[in-house]
Amino acid sequence: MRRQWVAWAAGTAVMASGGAALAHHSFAMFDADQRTTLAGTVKEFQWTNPHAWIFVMVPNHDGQLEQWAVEMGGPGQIARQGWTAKTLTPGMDVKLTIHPLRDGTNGGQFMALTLPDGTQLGNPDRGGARPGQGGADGAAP
Amino acid sequence: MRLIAFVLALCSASAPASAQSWKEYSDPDYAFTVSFPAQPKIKTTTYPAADGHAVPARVYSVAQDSGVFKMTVADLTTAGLEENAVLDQAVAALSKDGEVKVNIPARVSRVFGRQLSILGADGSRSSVAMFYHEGRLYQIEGKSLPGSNATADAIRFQQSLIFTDNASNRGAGERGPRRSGERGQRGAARCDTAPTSEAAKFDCRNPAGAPAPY
Repeated sequence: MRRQWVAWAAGTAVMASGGAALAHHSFAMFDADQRTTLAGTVKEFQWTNPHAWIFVMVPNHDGQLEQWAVEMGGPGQIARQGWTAKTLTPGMDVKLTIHPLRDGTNGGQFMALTLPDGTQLGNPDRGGARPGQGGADGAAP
Repeated sequence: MRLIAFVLALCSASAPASAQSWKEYSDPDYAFTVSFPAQPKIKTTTYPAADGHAVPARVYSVAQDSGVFKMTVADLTTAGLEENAVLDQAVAALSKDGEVKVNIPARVSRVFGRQLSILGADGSRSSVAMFYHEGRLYQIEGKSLPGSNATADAIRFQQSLIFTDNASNRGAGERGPRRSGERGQRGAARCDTAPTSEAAKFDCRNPAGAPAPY
């Protein structure tokens, strides 16, 4: 009986520890009807709750590098799609497709990414998908 | 003993790796977690409530050369104010020296509020989210300072807010943003068939109760 109780408590604790990873935000600040393509260099891949983030340095029209922040799902979710904390590393040259921020600042919601070897992650052709319809699909290598 | 070791190992395996530069900060008293780019300073101060009097507030902040990252929790439990009055006053205070570029509904788990993008008169850009929850105003603001390019950090900060109390600021059967004057009435927020405002359009695009894509 005691072993059963301990097992139940342990399972509950494990599930509760993932609670933060299940937190969701509305994504209304991203324009789901627009797509922007970025070509740049990974500065940092943050494997964090509630969302993983890709920070990428992208040259602007004047050739100066600007930092962009691309929001993904939580680690628990994207791990199920094959992503790991090491899928992206600083210095990688990547191409990203995002739903841009409505205010035009340097940020967006992840749609797809092309790795240096040409592997594509995600789906750039979701095209106008509303939040809640589809997600960061595509398996990581 | 082996079972306990197994549970500890599972917890370690499920814990996300920390970002190199951003640190998670939790306040269990106010039931939130936020990621800052550095260790925040905490200050106890006052906040001007919508009815004119000052209420206690706590401000957690990081100031860097390129940006300011601030989380404010104002205790409005004794003020007896309506949610829309609280949020409208907060929006007015934030935008008095700038222009609101975006003002749309926001949701973190089951807590509903608003999020804004503000262009300051000085050229700063702020990414803000605010929520009226458990009698408190939670206001998170990431500001990219004039001449810098920290808007990526600003949105990263603003999006990091988690409420850790697993509670909601909506009653059973109630969803989405409240209309002005509405006090916790039952019934889902409707999606106008011919939205006349940007806010209404965004309600239709992303009903606050709909799951996020992630």
